[in-house]
Amino acid sequence: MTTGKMEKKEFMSGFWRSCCLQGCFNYERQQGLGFGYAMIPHLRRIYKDDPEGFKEAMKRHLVFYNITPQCTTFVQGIAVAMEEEAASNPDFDASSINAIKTALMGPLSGIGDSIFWGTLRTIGLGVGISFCMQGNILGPILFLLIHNIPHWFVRYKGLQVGYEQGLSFMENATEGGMLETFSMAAKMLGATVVGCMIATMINFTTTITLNMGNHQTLAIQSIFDEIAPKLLPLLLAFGCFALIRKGKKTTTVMLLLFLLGFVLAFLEGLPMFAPMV
Amino acid sequence: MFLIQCILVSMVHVLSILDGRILGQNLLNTPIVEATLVGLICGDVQTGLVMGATLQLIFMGFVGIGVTSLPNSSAGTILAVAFAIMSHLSADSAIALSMPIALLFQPCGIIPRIINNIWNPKCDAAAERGDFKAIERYYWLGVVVFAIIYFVPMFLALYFGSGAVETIINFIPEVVMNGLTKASSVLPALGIALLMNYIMDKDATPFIFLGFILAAFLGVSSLGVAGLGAVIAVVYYNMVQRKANE
Repeated sequence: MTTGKMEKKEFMSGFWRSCCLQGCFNYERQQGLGFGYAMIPHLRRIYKDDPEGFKEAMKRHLVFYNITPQCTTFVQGIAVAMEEEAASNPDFDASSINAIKTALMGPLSGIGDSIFWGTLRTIGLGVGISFCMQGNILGPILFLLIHNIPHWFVRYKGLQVGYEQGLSFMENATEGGMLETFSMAAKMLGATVVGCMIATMINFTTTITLNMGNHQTLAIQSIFDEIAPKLLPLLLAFGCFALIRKGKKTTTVMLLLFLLGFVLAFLEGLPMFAPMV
Repeated sequence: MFLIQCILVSMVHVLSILDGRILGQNLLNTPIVEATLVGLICGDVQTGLVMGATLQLIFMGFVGIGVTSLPNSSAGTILAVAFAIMSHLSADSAIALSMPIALLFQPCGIIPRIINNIWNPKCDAAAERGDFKAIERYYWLGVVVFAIIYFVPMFLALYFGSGAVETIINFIPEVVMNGLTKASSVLPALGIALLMNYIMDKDATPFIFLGFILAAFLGVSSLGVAGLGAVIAVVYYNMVQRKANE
């Protein structure tokens, strides 16, 4: 397939690289480096004559990213279309690219997880286990087919559909002179989803309990919960954000988080802070 | 022969992790698939299939969605089947061992995801230079980290056998495990903070709180939050467009 400026060779290269989404998975950026890796063939074509633009775009696609891996190509296709706009239009606010990526991660993962993990995996296992119990080799084979035929279809089509839809949308927005408004709307949506991520993806609670004497105990977590649910993740995210805005290196912030994790685990392990049974 | 079997079975464990890393997530890391492969290598496919069905039911709920760190069901499955066939352990006692083994091997999933944090600043610096080849190199080193950490402990467990594994299971330093788990649960805060750094400005900040309040106070799912965010964004876009057309 050749649509827009994406040739077959580049399409296939991006497609195969999309399989490597989690190869360098880490707790900080999760699939971020894998997404950047998949974007390399596209960015090299788009910014062939613009080394500065390439550097900026490359940095953009190394940030935090997390999605149901089977669905990543749809976002990748849209990102390619938006990068083409960013490269050809100096007025385009490139930060809206990451805003859109962020906005898509949550909903696409919600749909993707329920289709691939919830439905196809469950159906496949139902069929697979019954064959396995009889010692029939069809068990694992049917299981893999039930999940993977839809998986590879979605992976292939996603890149095509995402790219085409992204292109036509960008074209319409440019013609109407609405790109700036579009960027703002994208940021609003992206920020909303980030707020949701803070509440759902940072699993930060403590079991530390104070012994007040007279068999009275006070769980620290209950105090936080009374102020606001998920208060600790919120404080943590804004704390990290403030440190980064102040110019602290990500490595420094990461070491601080490690320290926090081990200190908390140590305190929670002390008998004096253990919840009474 | 024994050595080759140990290596091949360890490779099944490596395959179980690399499937989701570089092969696109084909669910090869499912007990019925892993047990069959181990049965094939050890020369008893039937045992592999039948034990696979039982182990699958045990590990059914262990779905590795997102970053949640779970007991390593792959290691539990692979070692249970290998011990049953190679060390002639009864299928029942091998299956009884599978859950503690899965717990013992849990750090195999956590440690590479921590080590691979080191490539982030290196890749950023490479992007700054426009050196995409270096990014690709760092990326593949991350893959190698996963492969090594899934290969070595599995090989040792197979080589030294079920007795050695049981001894180690009774000797896990709890504070180390807890510290790793705790650290891995707070680290996503940094990734999200970096994302905020990219898209946050004066106008966007209130929407962070909108998303947070919807999810934390009202328990709206991420699909619901994104849906509401999309409605607001579309309304905003249309309103400005109408004004511009007037």
